[in-house]
Amino acid sequence: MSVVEELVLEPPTFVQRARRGEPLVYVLSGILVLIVLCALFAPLLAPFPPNHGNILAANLGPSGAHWLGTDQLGRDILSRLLYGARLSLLGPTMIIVFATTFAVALAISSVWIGGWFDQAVARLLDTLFAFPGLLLAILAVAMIGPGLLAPVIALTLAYTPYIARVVRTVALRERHLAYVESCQVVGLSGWQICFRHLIPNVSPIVLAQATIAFGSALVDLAAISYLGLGVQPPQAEWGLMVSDGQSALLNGSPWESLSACVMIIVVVLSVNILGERIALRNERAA
Amino acid sequence: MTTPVLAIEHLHVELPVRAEMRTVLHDVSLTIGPSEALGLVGESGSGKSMTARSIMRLLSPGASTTGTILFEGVDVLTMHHDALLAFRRKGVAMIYQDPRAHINPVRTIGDFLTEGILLDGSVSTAEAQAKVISLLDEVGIPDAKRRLRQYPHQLSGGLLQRVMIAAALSEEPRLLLADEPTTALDVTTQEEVMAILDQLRVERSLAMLFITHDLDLAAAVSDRVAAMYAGVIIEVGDAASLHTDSLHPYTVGLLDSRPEFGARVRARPIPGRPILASEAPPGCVFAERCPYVTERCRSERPILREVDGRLVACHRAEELRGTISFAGAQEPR
Amino acid sequence: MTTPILEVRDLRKVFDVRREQGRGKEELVAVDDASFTLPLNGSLAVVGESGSGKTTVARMIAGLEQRTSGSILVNGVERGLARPRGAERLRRGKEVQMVFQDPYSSLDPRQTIRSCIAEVLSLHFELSSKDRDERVAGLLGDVGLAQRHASVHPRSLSGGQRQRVAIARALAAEPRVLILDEAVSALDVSVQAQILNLLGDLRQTREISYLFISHDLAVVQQVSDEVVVMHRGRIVEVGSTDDVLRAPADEYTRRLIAAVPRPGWRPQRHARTVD
Repeated sequence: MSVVEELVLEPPTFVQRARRGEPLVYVLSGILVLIVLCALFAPLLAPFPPNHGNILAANLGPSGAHWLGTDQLGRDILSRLLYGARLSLLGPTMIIVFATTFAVALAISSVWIGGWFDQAVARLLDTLFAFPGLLLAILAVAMIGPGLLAPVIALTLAYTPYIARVVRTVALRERHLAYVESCQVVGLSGWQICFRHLIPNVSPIVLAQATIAFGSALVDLAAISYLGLGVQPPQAEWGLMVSDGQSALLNGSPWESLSACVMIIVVVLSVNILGERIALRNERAA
Repeated sequence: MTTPVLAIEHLHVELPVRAEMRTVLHDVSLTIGPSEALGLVGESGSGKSMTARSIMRLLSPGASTTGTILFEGVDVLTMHHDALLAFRRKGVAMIYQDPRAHINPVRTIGDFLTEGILLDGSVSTAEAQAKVISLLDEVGIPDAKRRLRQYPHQLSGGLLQRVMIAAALSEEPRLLLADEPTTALDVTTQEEVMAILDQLRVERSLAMLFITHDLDLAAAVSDRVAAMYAGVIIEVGDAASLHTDSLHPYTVGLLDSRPEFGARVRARPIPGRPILASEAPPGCVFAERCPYVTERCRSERPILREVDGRLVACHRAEELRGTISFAGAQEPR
Repeated sequence: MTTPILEVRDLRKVFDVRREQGRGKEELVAVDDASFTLPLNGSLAVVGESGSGKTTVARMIAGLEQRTSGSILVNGVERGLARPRGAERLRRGKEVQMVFQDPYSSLDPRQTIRSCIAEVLSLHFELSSKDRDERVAGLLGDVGLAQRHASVHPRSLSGGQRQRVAIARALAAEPRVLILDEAVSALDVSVQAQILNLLGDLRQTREISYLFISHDLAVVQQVSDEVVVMHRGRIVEVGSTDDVLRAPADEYTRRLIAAVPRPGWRPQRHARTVD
């Protein structure tokens, strides 16, 4: 019966939140939107085709023609960075979409059905937890061959338990709240209750968890590409660019590795901070 | 005249909620004499717990407080660190609604109870143990030796609340703040715990502020009862005559809302819902729900004044005396 | 004799609980052979303190908990043990509805009040959207809420208003029996009285029977014709509310009544075994 709790009657509006000083959230969201737009409109924005190189103009520093210089094959780094955003973001997006879908389906059904099924799902998640994502991905590449497909499958498997565990905990709490039970008494079917009530009410937590996982998935995929197991040259991808730029880096032109690294850091940092903020807001609202 | 144990004068408290200051107490004044029990009654959000927290200076950081809280003549609000610690340790003790939230779950009952006594350094462990055992005996917990080795989760709510009472009394405070100590308990357990609390308080001639939402319970264990609404004290009077002589429409309405035991009559509820202190209109805080509201009530907040030996904050107290009824009041929409 | 709308016979519920110390499980008898009947358009209260099994009885009748043994008859028809499906689930929804204790968790926070009530209506009745909106408006009026409340979310309503919505939602299915599980105990005193009066009024205008689960004798006296007193899973006394409260036969009932604060009451210490 604390008074402070009683006071929280209406959630703040978008404008109130902006005014109250959460500018960071808006800046970060802006950066991410900008990067996604760059990826989508890369053909329009890029000054050069990404795979067109002039070997005579290799390893150039920044100039009016090449804002970020050229790589060891004389390709424009800025253009490759813009095109690279496509694959670099597509990979983690696929992983997170698949992993979240599996995780929610698994968590909600185990919470709803309960009993032995819940136990079985819990054990399955524990087992999946035991596999480190990167090792699983390397294993998958060895079986399927290099490219985007193998790491995406492996990392989807690796990320599912992380998201599922959190969703299961939250769904378990919601499951026994009176509003869910009253839906049962009213005569709604299990499907109806899960899709109309349970899933919408766990969605903020799912969103927070998925956002944070996106950052890790991006780093994992970049690492796999860096090792040469993921996206193959000459395709543009940030992780690949970091490794491609290595020899140039030793020769005193750091632009390729550096710019790709900065992009990875900016994206990961932004999604992580946003994820933390979303999680924090859920906590306050709860 | 003796100094009151506690004298609150014109206490006004605002708390920061989302970068905005919200009033939780408006100009609260009350006194508790030596060995007197004052019942503080109100619905949720009325500010009764905030009053207790203000006395302990346990408000959240950023709270703005004006007025004075005199404990034995010394202002709690301006106490410095050491004096405040001494006041909290020796002067006042508090009992909460949910004992489980105020006891460390991984330490034994014995650890919990002896901790305060041993803090002095003047008492040996064996002496502290003996003192604690006799305290547990006083609060009606037999087999105290075994209980001392148990953990909080092994005790029922009623037993745990008695442990809290024992802990509160172990430092021999002069003032006891009891914040809804029995609300979470069953009625039969409530009776037991209240009887123990009442008996020990009287034996030790302790002053007590007893906070509850239950008027009948407050009347049973207090000398005087103060009623609170939206952060304002609206009436203070003798507990014994609470049911017959109450003057404020809100107090009367609250008494009438509760179904009378033994007679089946339709309750005459106060229309509307309780408001928060921050929602209080400029005039009388109860104006919106009062069937006797006038223009003056809406524009001018009544101050607490003496009428028939009671203190009441109502412009029309004399003329309404004994005639207040919510029977004709409109059911809320 | 007419068939009672609800009858429970030898109802029993045993929970498997983990032993506090050591391994394995032990049995906890939550409800021990409870039998009572709720007459058509009657109002029966089940009273008891925490751990008495009263809420478990309500949950078994509402189908939220499986009974261990015994039978539950609604309108003379026994309810099976299997999880109900399809038409059976809907039929049960039209027989028994329930209002829960905590007004803050009994409504979906993401649903507006209108869609919360309309959901039940479209589940049980084939209505045009116009008719459905009219029924929602009618139900809101019946429970003393204004039409403007239809478009808001639960968070902008007070506890008392939310409990009115929960009642409207339960009534939307037009059930024969309404279970009220401590439905007023979380409310402030002045609001509690409003809801009790509302429940009394609704019984005047509808063919509905109440099963009232409560720990509060003063409240029970206000709304129920008959009362069942439970103590540690067992029924210790049954009778008309007035008789039981005026002249309790059972020792525990007497203790319970004596403990209720009232004008002139003083708390007494009772020599009894400590739990």
